[in-house]
Order: sequence, then structure tokens, then C-alpha cells
Amino acid sequence: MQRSLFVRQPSVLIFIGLLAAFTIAITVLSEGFGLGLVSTSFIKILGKTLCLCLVAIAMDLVWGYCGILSLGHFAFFGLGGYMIGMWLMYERTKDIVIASLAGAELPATAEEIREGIGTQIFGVVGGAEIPVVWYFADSLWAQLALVVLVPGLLALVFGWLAFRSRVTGVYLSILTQAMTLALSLYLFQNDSGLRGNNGLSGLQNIPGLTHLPQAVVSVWFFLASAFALGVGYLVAAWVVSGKFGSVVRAIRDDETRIRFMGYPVEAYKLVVFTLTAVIAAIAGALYYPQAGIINPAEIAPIASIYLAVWVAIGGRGRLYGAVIGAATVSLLSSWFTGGQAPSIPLGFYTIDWVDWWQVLLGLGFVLVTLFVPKGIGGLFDRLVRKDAS
Amino acid sequence: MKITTRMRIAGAAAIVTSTILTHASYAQEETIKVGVLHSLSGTMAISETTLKDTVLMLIEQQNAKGGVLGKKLEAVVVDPASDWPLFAEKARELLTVNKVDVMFGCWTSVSRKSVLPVIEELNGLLFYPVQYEGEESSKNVFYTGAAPNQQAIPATDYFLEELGVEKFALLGTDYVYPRTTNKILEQYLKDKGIAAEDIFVNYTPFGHSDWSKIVADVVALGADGKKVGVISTINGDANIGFYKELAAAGISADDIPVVAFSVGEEELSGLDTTNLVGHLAAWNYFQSADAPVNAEFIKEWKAFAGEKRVTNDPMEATYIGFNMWVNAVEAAGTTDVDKVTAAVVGQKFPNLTGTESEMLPNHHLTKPVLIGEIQADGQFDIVSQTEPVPGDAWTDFLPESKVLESNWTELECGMYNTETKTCVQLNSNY
Repeated sequence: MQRSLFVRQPSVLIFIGLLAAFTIAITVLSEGFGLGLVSTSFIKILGKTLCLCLVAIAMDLVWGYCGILSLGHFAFFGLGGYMIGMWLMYERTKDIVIASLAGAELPATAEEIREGIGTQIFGVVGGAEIPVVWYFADSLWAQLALVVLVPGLLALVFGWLAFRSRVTGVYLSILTQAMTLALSLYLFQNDSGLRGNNGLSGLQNIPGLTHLPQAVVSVWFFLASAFALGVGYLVAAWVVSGKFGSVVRAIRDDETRIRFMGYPVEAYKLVVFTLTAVIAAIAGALYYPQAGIINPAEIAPIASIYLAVWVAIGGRGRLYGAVIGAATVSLLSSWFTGGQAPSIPLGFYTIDWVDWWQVLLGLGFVLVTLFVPKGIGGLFDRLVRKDAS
Repeated sequence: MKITTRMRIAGAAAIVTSTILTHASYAQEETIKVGVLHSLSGTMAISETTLKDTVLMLIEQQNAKGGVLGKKLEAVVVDPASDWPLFAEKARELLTVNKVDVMFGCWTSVSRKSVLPVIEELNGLLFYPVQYEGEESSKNVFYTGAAPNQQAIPATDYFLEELGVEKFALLGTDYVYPRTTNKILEQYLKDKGIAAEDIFVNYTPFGHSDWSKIVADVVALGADGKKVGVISTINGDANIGFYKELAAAGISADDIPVVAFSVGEEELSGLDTTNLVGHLAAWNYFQSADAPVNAEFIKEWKAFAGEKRVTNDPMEATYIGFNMWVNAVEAAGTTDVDKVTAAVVGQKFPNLTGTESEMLPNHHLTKPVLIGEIQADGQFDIVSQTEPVPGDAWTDFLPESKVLESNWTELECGMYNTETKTCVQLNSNY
């Protein structure tokens, strides 16, 4: 099957090859493992960008291929981040508490340690009790399972309810927006037990690996993100090729017709929706330890809208398009916010990047939609066609 | 297909080259670099842009005086865009790529918590200019805004002693600053003999607009004739609806006074103040403060930023922090973070309200507490001013933090447990 996948979609092999070459090149140039030409700060930006590319692939799968314009996929991304963040924060705090109790005359009891952790994590937001949702926080494996299970189950239940009621089109988009908004408002509350507005912080300090410099940890996460992106791309390419993929695309193009042909449309949609939610969650779980902090603002409705914009810019229905879109916007934003963009003096007025970068980015979105409706990825079609003629 | 491949390789190559270029482009002539880490876009831009301008003005003035250590100061301005993880990313970029010697920045607590692990890892230096909830002390941060005992406690005392308030409504937006401040105030009020049922605590989400029920609850609190006062840690837009609802319920500042900790000149400028007149705010600085140094500062600010611009408390905090850093660098003869940090502690500098502020070993300032009454023009009439109060990192009014002490000179610890006589942790609790 694998060989036929590459034959049918040569772009998959090219993508994997380029990703591997890029990953090796960056690793060799990194501060942690190589020549030190690429700063740790930039490695982190690249690692995060790869995670955003992965969630963009999920978005392309659900929207570009299955026609479900979900404006809530960043909720799954954020939940994945929260699940891994709980373990990171709990274990890091546990190490601190144990170290600080070590000096006492009597060895610390498990109860004292737990109390100490509670005060440390929740003291700042006015509590000391460890909420129930943190029950598995001391186990990496449990939290890793939850990275997949919590967003997966949420997507399954939400999708089942929505698709079964035949909610489609713009109504479904609104529903997914409502879901991510509700989740973010819930998490903003202190009583939700995930530290409210402050969220989970200091996630870049990996428990047990604190002796390693961030220069090294950042490369590990960069490599893990690249690996996840590669696997995610293969999975997505495999899903959209073959019979399953044909049915999924047919649902996008004419749902009613496929239903009358006897295909269980709802089941197909549910599989795609849940699968992409899980991919998004894995991307989130890799993203936030690199970002260092997760809080409810991350899953505000606007984030999921941006996700759709990235995919639109890169070009829908072509997995590499999603990657191009996400990478372009993410790296451009990083460059603009870094303050290195030059101001453009026009004589009568100086265009300061500070005032204009968001306008320029927004203008870019509009121009791409107007003049390159197939996105940046669509440009390749033109080039290829011109080449052939 | 061929061209596609070539294009993509070229793209990848472009990314790699641009990396190398950005990396190589910072070997420049001798300046002292000052990082400015304030959001210039997004929800916090309205507040934080002012502080960016303040730092730029102070740098310009310092350069006109000949710079620091004979070198010019160079501002490196970034835009963390009100995006909290971006604060960490930009802080790392400032410290490792731009190699700044000091940073001025952050507004919200969550942005500070985002930056803390990065500056502690890379041994950076940050001056944080906004009033905050305390319960934190970092070796690498100087907190030039108010700790709770420099704003909330004196304001509560004013309610108790001057206005004779007997019942308290603590209203806040649901996030860490109001939560912690109210937790401290609740305990403080109980210690002062206020019964638990006379304290009403309520939290609302960001941007809350439906205040009718909460205002009705507050009014009902005073049904037995006892004087009610509101201590407000309500943040941002939600304030507009809150004061409007109070006015709509026919409540004046004489009936139920409100003292706010997050409403200042900047927030009031461009706002219809009719509903707010007579209510109170507690800060360490008001533009209306009567001192020659303040008049000078206001004049310079208006010349720099525009005639209509106002000054506010976080600007004064930035001003004090900046000047203390300059003097500390001159005293240490270097920009080395450890030496400068040691030299900043003990620095004395005249604040803008006519007294002198001192940097304490816990990295907090001594500052006077001012209470002002809101005027129709968006300015404050100062009704009370204390002597400079030393900022306390760990509040004395909560049992778990009462035993903690921060002293970076003698104890070399920001979280020292005075009971067990041990340092709980050297890093801050982010």
C-alpha cells in the first residue's frame, strides 16, 4: 500500500524528503547540536511552526477534503496542550517541593508533598486544594493518553450530536465556534481548576531534564515536531487516497448524492472529525512545551479562524498547501513582531511596521483570496502546467 | 513537477539563509541595548503602547545627556501582540539574538509569568512597572509597580477610617490579580473585626456587561443602614458598564463609594466620566500630584507624545525604574546583570509625587499611596497621601505567605521561609 500511495501522490515523497532535509540542516546548524548558526530562539520558533503546520494539515483534512468548515479545531489543539501541561507543571512543582522539604528534620510524608504542590500551583490563584481534574497529573503515561482521549472524546460526542442532527455548512461552523468559545470561557474561570486566566506556565522546563540547557531541549522538541508532522502528513495522505478518500471528497462535493448511494455519510464525517481532532491535540501537546505557557486565550474563537485562514492561504485540498500557509503566516508574524522589519519612509509619511504589520498581513489574506483563490499551493499547478505546455 | 521541487528547495534554502543573515546581523557598534517588551497590538496595546513611548522618551532624554557609561542607549522594540506565549518567545529573542542589557516590559501578570522562566534561565533583567498581586519574587525582576500593601491595604484603611465603611463588596474580574488581592483584603478585613457576612465577594468574566444583579446585591447589602463600600478590581471595559449601572440605580459616590485599583488617567481619557465623578481610585501617582518634578515630566511627555496625552501610575513606575537602572549601571561601571542587580538595590530616586523612592532588597520600591477622587475632566483630586510605604513581596495577611520573606542581598533568596529557616526555591514560582 505504501508504495502505491507514493506513486499516486508524488508530492508526499517530495514533502517527506524536503522535511527530512530541512530537519537535518537545522539540527546541524543549531546551537544545541551543531555549528551554532541558528539561535535557540529561532529553533523554538521553527519547532512551534512545525506544530502549527500539523494542525493545519488536520484542518485541511476536515475542511479541504471533507468539506466541514470547523472553526473550533484550535480547541482540540489547546486541550492537548493542557493535558501535557498538567503533567509538566505537577512534576516540576513536585521536584521543587521535595527539594525544599529535604532540609526538614523528619522526612516529608506524601501528604505534605501533595499539600506543598497544591499551595505552589494554586496558591497564586487563591486555593491550595488540588482539583479532581489533576487526578492523573503525576503520571506521564496517563496524561499522554489523555492528550489523545480528552480531545478525541470531545470531538466524537460533539461530532456525533452535530452530524446526526444533519447540521451542516455555516450552522456547523457557528456551532464549532460556540464550542471553542464555551471551552475558553470555562477555562477562564478560576473554578475550572486549571488556573484560570494564568493557565499553566513554565512548561519549557521538562521535569527530570532540568539539567539540560534549552539549546538541547529545543532541538529535541524540534525533531519531535518534525517527526510528528511527517507521520501526520503520511496518515493524512493515506486517508485521502484510496476508497475512503474518494468517499470523503465526494461528501464534500455532494453530500446528498453520496447518502442516496448508500454510504453512511455521518460515520465518515465523524471519523474524519475525530481523527483530525486527535492530530490537532498531538500538535498542541508538542507546541506548548515549546511555547512555555498555555492559557485560555489560546483557544479563543479567533485562533480557530486563523487556522482556516492559513489553510485558505496555502490552498485547500492539497496537504502541502496547509503546510505552506501555516508556515508562511507563522514565520511572517514572528518576523514582524520581532521588530526587525524595517520602517518604510515615504517622504510625507513613514510606514512603521508596528502600526502596519497586522494590516499588511490582513491585506495579504484578502489579496490571496481575491487573486489566487487556490492559495499559494495553487501557484504550483500553474507552474507545472506551464512547464508541460 | 521538476519546477515544483526546485521551487520548494529554493524556499527551504531561503529560510536557512535568512536565519543565518538575521543571526549575523547583530554584530554592530558599541551601544547599550534596551529591550522594550510591551504589546503594541491586540487588547493590551491601548495601555502598553504608552509605556513603550515612555521608555523611548526616557532613552532619548538620556542620550541627550550623553548616554550611559559614555555609550548611547539603543531601544529594541518588539511587539508581543497581547499574546502571552509570544512574550516568552520575544524575551528569549531580545536576550539571545538582540543581546539586550535590560528589558522594560509586561503589563498583565500572565505575561510576566510567561517571561519569568526565560529571564531566569538566561539571567536577564526586567523592570516590571505595573501594580500586581505580589506573592512572587524573582532575582531577575524589579517590581516598580505597587504590591498589595502599597495600594489595596491603604485604600481599605481609608474606607474604614475616613469614610466609616462597615460593609464591603469586593468586586473583581476573574483572574489572578483580583483573586489574590481580594483574598488578602478579606483576611485583612476579618482581622479588623468585620464579620464574614458583611463581606461580599464577586467575580465576573473579562468584558462583563450585565451588572444589574450584582449592583442590586451590593445595594441590598446596605439595607440595614450600615455604610457600604465597593473595592473594585474590575478590569478594562467592564468598568464602563459597572459605573453606568451604579448611576442608573441612583447610587452616588456619597451613598456607596467605589475605590478602584485599575482605573487611571489613561483609562478615563476619552471616556464619558459623568457616572464616575466622585468615586475613588488608589495609586502611587496621579497626574494632578503637585510637585515641580511632576510638572516637568508632564511637560516633557506632552512635548514628546502630544498635547492631549495624559500621564499615569505605570508611567511613573517606568520612570523610576529606568532612572534607577541608569544610576545603577553608572555606579557598577558595567551592564553585567549580576553587578547591576546588586547596584539597583538601595538606589534612591525622587518619585514624581515629591518624595523619594528606594529600591529594597526584595526588589520592590518604597512608594507613597495616594487616593484620588475622579473629576469630570478625567483627572483626580488627591484626597489622601501617605508617607512612602515599603513594598512587600509576600503579604503578611495570609498565613502561608506570612512566613515567607524575600531578600536578595542578605538571604539571597526570594522565597525564604522564616520558620524553617530555609530557602523554598531560588527560581520564582511561575
